[in-house]
This record gives sequence, structure tokens and C-alpha cells, in this order.
Amino acid sequence: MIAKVARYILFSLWTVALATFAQAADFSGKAAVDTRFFTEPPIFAQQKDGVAYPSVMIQPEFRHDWGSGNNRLTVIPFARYDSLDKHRTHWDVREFSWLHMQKNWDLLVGVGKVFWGTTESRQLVDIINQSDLIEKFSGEEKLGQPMMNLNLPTDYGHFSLFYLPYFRERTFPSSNGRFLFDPPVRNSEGKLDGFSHWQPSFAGRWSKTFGDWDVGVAHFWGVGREPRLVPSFGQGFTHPPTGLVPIYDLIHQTSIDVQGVLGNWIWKAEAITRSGQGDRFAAAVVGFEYTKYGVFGGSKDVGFLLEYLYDGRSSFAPPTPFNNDIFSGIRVVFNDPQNTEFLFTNTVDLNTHATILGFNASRRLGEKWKIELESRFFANISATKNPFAPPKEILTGMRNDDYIQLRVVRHF
Amino acid sequence: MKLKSLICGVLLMAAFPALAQTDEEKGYAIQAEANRRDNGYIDSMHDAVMTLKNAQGEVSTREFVVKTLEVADDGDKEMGIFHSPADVKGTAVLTFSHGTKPDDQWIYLPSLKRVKRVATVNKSGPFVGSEFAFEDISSWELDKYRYRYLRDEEIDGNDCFVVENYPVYEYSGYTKQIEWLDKKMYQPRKIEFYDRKGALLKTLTFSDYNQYLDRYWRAGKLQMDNVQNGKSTELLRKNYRFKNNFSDRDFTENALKNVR
Repeated sequence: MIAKVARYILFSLWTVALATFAQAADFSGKAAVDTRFFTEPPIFAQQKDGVAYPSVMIQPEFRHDWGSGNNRLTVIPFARYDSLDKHRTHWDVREFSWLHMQKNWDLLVGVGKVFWGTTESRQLVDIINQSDLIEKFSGEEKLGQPMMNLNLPTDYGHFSLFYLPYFRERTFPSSNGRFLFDPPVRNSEGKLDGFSHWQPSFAGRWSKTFGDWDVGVAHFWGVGREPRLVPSFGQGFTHPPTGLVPIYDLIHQTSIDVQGVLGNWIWKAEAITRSGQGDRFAAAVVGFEYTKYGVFGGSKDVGFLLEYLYDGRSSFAPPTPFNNDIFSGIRVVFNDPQNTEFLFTNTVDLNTHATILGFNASRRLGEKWKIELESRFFANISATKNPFAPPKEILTGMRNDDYIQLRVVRHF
Repeated sequence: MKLKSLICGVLLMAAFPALAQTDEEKGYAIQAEANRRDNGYIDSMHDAVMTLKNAQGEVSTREFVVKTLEVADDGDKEMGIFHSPADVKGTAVLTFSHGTKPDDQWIYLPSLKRVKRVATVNKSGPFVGSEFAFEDISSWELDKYRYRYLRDEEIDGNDCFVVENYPVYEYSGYTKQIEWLDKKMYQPRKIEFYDRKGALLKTLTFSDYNQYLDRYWRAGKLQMDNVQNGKSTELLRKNYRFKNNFSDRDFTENALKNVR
């Protein structure tokens, strides 16, 4: 009886809250239909070998401000249905937070998303949110992260402090999907090295603008977002490894990110040093974007991007393809009412010559629609020579995963 | 005799300073007065609707909010927050104007939660695909131009000074502007923009003026017509609000992340 009454009260409150919310809230978001076309059959027998795989996603956004704009509720759920990969059919709470703003501080409590960094080719210092790797294999898409985030703008710079009470594991493709490691990652066997998902992490970042330069310095202490990928021998040690098991460690990571503008040049740099995964190591990305304005008959801009990527991690640390790489790119911005843009990129490993070519294009159609093209082509990626050792090149399993993705987005 | 006429001349010059002014000095004096009359509002905020029309008559719109903070001895700080088109909703641009020095500018991309520096040498580039260049919508600072008074002229029944403005900041897309400045309001009625070849490129017409705080005039409608490509952009500025209590902390790279 009491339970029934309680349930009734709760239900009423929820309905009232929803109704009030729906009235006052700012509602927006997007939905999209993507189709990925693969130009080559996959490497592993269990992978689906079709050419075209459609997928749909929706991401509504609710925001509600109250208390003369000092408080804000943000709710951003996300869901995708994918015809190729059952892991990629997934949903997430990207954001669900309460933000309280005062003149000298603000506090965010709930699930949030935070980005740190400046460079184009790699998100090295960005560590608050876990990568949603099945959403985008580059790791740029992120899962929502539970947090308390206190921000203190002062005359000495902006201080941002984080308490992250819960750890979320990285998403990986399922064994019949694309963009697999060789051997594939067995995500269900993922391990936390001696702690639970409730292991808290802490982080702090100081940032300040010095004239033409923006500088950020941060420290993170807690569960490293990148897992080590350790071979598992499901059929015994006399057989080749059957999969890679992601293992998460407690780490310390100190980082710096810089961006500065000098005329047509935007200079960008990110660097980290991390301990807790093998020997302490350092990594850095340094580069620029030079933009030539008003070319091709007046109003188009062409940007030239160049970045060098270094990573000194050992084989005991999580693998990365970016140990010693050069990234280059050309961005064409049309400056037309439809905001048409092209981006060509090329990342080459100076040791192995492994190459990832990229092409992105986007254009607005009318006021609410957008069409986006995204493609990646893998070249010079070596196959596994010794089936017992993990491949030297982390991209080996993806060498046949060249794709072109066409996305039609409806914003609302 | 010689001395007498000299004294006479000096006295005359003191009594009628205008007689001794060159057209350049007079042009500067007029714009300095315009600048003086517009100083001291501290901060302001308004809603903007931009309607782009191409030569075929096809129309697209952008809605944004503009917040401005006056800065003593430097250019204003300004923040623009987009509400439409839907794909750029929440995108915010922060600009620190600096007279003849290059401005500082940042753009916040809400889907990535990322703040990027923007190179501000792109003065003549189009603002969000419109016929307004970045230099047309950035805050006007006295030092950004040299001036020359041309004549007095009536425009739609309003007495105006006609002044030529020559950009002295780098990377301007214009050789000169001809401005019709209303004598009562000390605000522009019309500006003609001349391209790098010296040909007329665009005409900007200001209308629907309102006075705020018993002092500051703001145009409710700006109509930009490109005479070379036949495209036009109408900019409506509504709901002017002053005394918002803005501070420097509302105009930082980090403040961009929480604006809506």
C-alpha cells in the first residue's frame, strides 16, 4: 500500500516536472542516417563482408535555465542503431547535469563532457571523458562522464577542478564489425587492475591567455582512459592468442596545451608525461595551421595544416599508431551561405610508412539539414608476421577497412 | 602693418577654428565627436536576425545574440552567440577589438566543447556567408581609420556630414568608405564601401534608430547591398538592453563554454 502511494506520488512529481520542463525548456538536437561503404572485404572470417551498412542515430538536447539564469539543467541522451555491428547499436547519456553559476565560481554536478586540447591530428591531453571508440574509431567521440567540476575564474587564470567518482570502460567493436585490432579486443573480459569502477579520479587544470597565446596546464590522477591490450590465449599457450584483453591502470598524467596566433598562422602544441603504465613516458604533438584568405575568386579560405606526432611509450603501455608521425592537411572553407567545407588529411608513420588518408566534406541544406561525407583509406599497413606476437603495427587489423560514409543530418 | 594683419589673422583663427581646419582635421573632429557621444554606455546586449538574399532571391537566416563590454583605452569586448541555423546553435564567437592592432578572437564549437583561436587577419572575409565582412560588423574604433570631410548633404530629409574613412588597420578589403553621418545623432545613415580597385562594392543603409538611456542611438535595421554581385543582407537588431552588469569575466575563453 505504502509502496503504491509512494509510486503514485513519484509518478505525479515526475509528470509535473516533465510538463513544467517541456514548457520552459530549450529543446534541440539532431538525428542522422549514416551509410558506410567499405571498398574491400574484411580480414577476419567472422566479420560481415557486405559493402553498404546503414545506421541511424539520434541525440536530443534539453536545456532549462532558472533562477535568473544562475542554474541550468542539461540533458543529452544519445542512441544509435547499426546494421553492421551489434556493439555499435548502443545508447549513452552524453550529458545530464546541473550547472550552478556565480560571479566568481561555477559548479557542475552530474554527467558532463569536457574537452582539453588544441591540435588537429590527435587528442593527446583530452582525458576527462572516455572515448566511444565504436562511434568513431579515431576516439574523438566521447562517453558521458560522471563528475563534480568546480570552475574558478581568477586574475591569475582559470582554475578547473574535477572529482570523477566513476570510471567508464572504452567501447570496442564486436567481432563481426569493422575497425578491429589483430587479434580483436575481447571487451567482455576487460579488467581493472586492482580497483572497481567506483575508483575515483581527480584532475585540475589551469589556463590563461597571454596576449596572442592561450596556455593550459593540467594534472590527472586516477584511472587511465586508455587500456593496455594484453593477448589472451584462449586455446592455451601453444596456440596463437585468441584476443586482446583491455586492462586499465591507475596513472598520473601531467599535460600542457598551447595555441597561439601570429598573423595567418595558428600554432598548436600538446604534450603529456604519464606514469603508471610501464616506464614513465612523454608524448607530444606540435604543429600549425596557415590560412590563405580570399582565394579562388574572392571569398574562399584555404588552410594548410602540418603537425608532428611523437610518442615515447614502451610496449607495456597502451598501443598507439602515433609514435613518430607526420600529419598534413588542407582545409577549404567556402564561406558561402551553406557553409561548405572540405578537409583532406594524411597521417604517415615515419618508421613503418603506415598511412591514413582522410577526406571530410560538409554542406548545409536549407536551414535544418546538413550533408556530411567522411572517408578514411589505410595504406602501407603491414600484416601480422608472427601469429604469437601482437602485431607491431596497431592498425594491422584495420588495413582493409577503407570506407566512405555519407551522413544526412536533420537538426531540430 | 604686417604685425597687425598677423595679429588679426591669429585672432580670426582663434575665433573661427573651422576656418583654419583642413578637411582631414574636420573629418577627424566629426568622428571624434561621434566617438565621444557614444562612449560611456559600459555594456549592452541585443538580439540580431540576419537575412541573406542571393541574386535569385533565395533567402536564408541567422539568429544570434550580441553582448558588448566597453573597455577603457582599448577596443570593446564582444561576444556573439548563435541560435540558428540549427547546426550552429550554441556556437559562440568572442572578440577583443584593438584599434589598429590585430583583434583577438576565439570560436566555441558546442558539439566538440572546444574553443579554437581564430586568425583575425581575415578582415575582408564574409561573416557567416553574408554580405557583411568581419570588418563591417566588428566594433568601430576611432583609431581604425584616417578621415576626410567632403561636404554637407541631406539624405532622406536628414542633414548629414559626408566623410571619407580610410582604413589604417592591415588587411582591409577597402580602399575607402564614404559615410553619411547624421548631424543630430552623430550616427551613420549610409556607408559606401569601395573595393581594393577603388570601385563601389557595397552600400550599407541604417534605419529605425532608437535612443537608449537618453543618449545612445542604435539602428534597428542595417541593409547591406552588394552592387557587384546583386546579393544583399538585412540585419535587424532588436531588444537592446543596457546596464547588464557585465564584467571582464563574462568575456573570457572559458566563459564561452557556458553561454547559450
